[in-house]
Amino acid sequence: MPDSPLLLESSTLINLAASRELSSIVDALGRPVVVCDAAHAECLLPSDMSEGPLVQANLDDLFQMKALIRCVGPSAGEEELFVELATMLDDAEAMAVAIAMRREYGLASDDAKVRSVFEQQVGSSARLLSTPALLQRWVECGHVPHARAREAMKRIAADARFRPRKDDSSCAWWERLVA
Amino acid sequence: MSMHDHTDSLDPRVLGNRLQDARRARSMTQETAASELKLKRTTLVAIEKGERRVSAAELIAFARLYGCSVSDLVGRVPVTDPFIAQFRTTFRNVAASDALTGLQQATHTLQEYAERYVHLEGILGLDLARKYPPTYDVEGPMPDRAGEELASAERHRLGLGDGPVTHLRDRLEADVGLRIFTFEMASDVAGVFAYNDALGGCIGINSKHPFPRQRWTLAHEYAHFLSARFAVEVTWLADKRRTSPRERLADSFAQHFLMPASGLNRRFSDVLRARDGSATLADICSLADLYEVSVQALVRALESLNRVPRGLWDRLESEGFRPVQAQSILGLDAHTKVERRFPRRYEMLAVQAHESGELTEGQLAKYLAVERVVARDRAAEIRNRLSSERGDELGSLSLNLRDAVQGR
Repeated sequence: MPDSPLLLESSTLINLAASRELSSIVDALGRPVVVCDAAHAECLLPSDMSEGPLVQANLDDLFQMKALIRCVGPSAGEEELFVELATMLDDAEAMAVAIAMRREYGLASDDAKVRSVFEQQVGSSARLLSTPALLQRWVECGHVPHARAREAMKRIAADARFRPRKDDSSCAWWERLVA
Repeated sequence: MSMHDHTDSLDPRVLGNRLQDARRARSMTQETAASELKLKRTTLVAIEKGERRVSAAELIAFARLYGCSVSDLVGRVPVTDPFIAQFRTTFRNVAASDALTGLQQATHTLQEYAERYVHLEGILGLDLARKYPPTYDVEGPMPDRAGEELASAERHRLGLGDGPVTHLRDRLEADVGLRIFTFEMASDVAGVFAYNDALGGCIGINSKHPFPRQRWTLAHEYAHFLSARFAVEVTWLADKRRTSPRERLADSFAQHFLMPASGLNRRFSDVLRARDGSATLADICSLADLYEVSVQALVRALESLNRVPRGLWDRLESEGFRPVQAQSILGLDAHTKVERRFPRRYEMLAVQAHESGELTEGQLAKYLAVERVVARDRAAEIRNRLSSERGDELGSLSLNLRDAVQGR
């Protein structure tokens, strides 16, 4: 059975966009990848070099090529759950969790509370992924040279100011590769 | 957690209050809001009173119309008596205009920030210590004199001596327990003071104004806190209302709190002695910089002490004197300082709450009023500061005081 679609929550989307390898990463995953408009709106990165002004990451080409599937917002059947989750999470996060739950998608998030809420709701962490986990899959499934992966990880650290959580199952892999 | 109707987790009256507050912050009438949402006005009234439940779809539509997020309306931030309601009398005196909208937005923002601050304290179990002095009795026919006496008493209470007050904001936050925020307001509003039991004394300062002006406003609002704690206050930049006894008292307090007469007299005498009896404009600019007040405020203070001729400031102004330009030429930079939007402690609590998984990254960014990558940067800075404060570098330093004393 093919993998269910994977929804990228804001905290992960921003990292993958900063890697400048989003298209290649999505390709290597071999499953549909979904992005909500609310997460895209929050995906602001330095325009050129690390110190430049923040601009919204341009995902238009990826949407047009259908590499990414655009999701506008919660549908009628998801609104109630979205509002309930918004008591604990920010709007974009609540939307991502509500949609992933109702549509039985996987969820990629690097945020501890978002992951915890999703895990509690679903009763399992099996559908959860993170930036390091996605990059590990990209490298392993896509046979990506380590030097190229290292460059992507450095850009994620510099432009998205990201560092993996210590309890992330791919954290050790990340640190080994980037060292 | 089991899923249930969202309204089960939130008191309908609380939700109604938040919706009303959000509408007022937009200066939108009930008629307009109801029409935009295709509701009857009576339905909207019932929702705001908490008498009618709101569906999820309606809540999403409300948030879109009022330009806020759904999580702002249903989040678990504590709910306190709306400041906007307390300001009703003030608002009544302001004609419906951009000024009114700006004022309502400033009040709304002040309350939002203060409630988030209290929420963070609640999450981490770290309440802000309130070291409020009793309200001073300043009723009387001479507000200027009362302001001066109040300033003297308060400087004495806080152990400030008679020199310039540095780090005024930090002191009022740490030594008194006020919640002070600096954010953009309409240009003609200098600051806002409000109080309720849950949030305590809260002050909003207009970040558009230069740093010395912000300090004056802060001292001015502090006078309101000391003298009439339970009366909310808006301070206008230049307004006839400032001739009211309360405003005169607060201005007199600001002058004497920032520039106590004894210290200013002494320093001005020192300047005159060094200059054979006459001070230059450069000296006055330097003194203003030392006290971190505007040149205008300093000259006015010297006028009131009869150290310079009365009307000097008016004359300088009419002759085209530009104090900011003069201070820049002299390399004086107090007027260029930029104040933080949030108290340091607030930022630290927000980062701690995020670290402990109580606040999401999106919430952290919202609490710090920045974008996500900036929030990540800010969190890293604060984490580093905290770890160096409790880290080994300081702990391993050994000080040999005997050598230091003996000058080795």
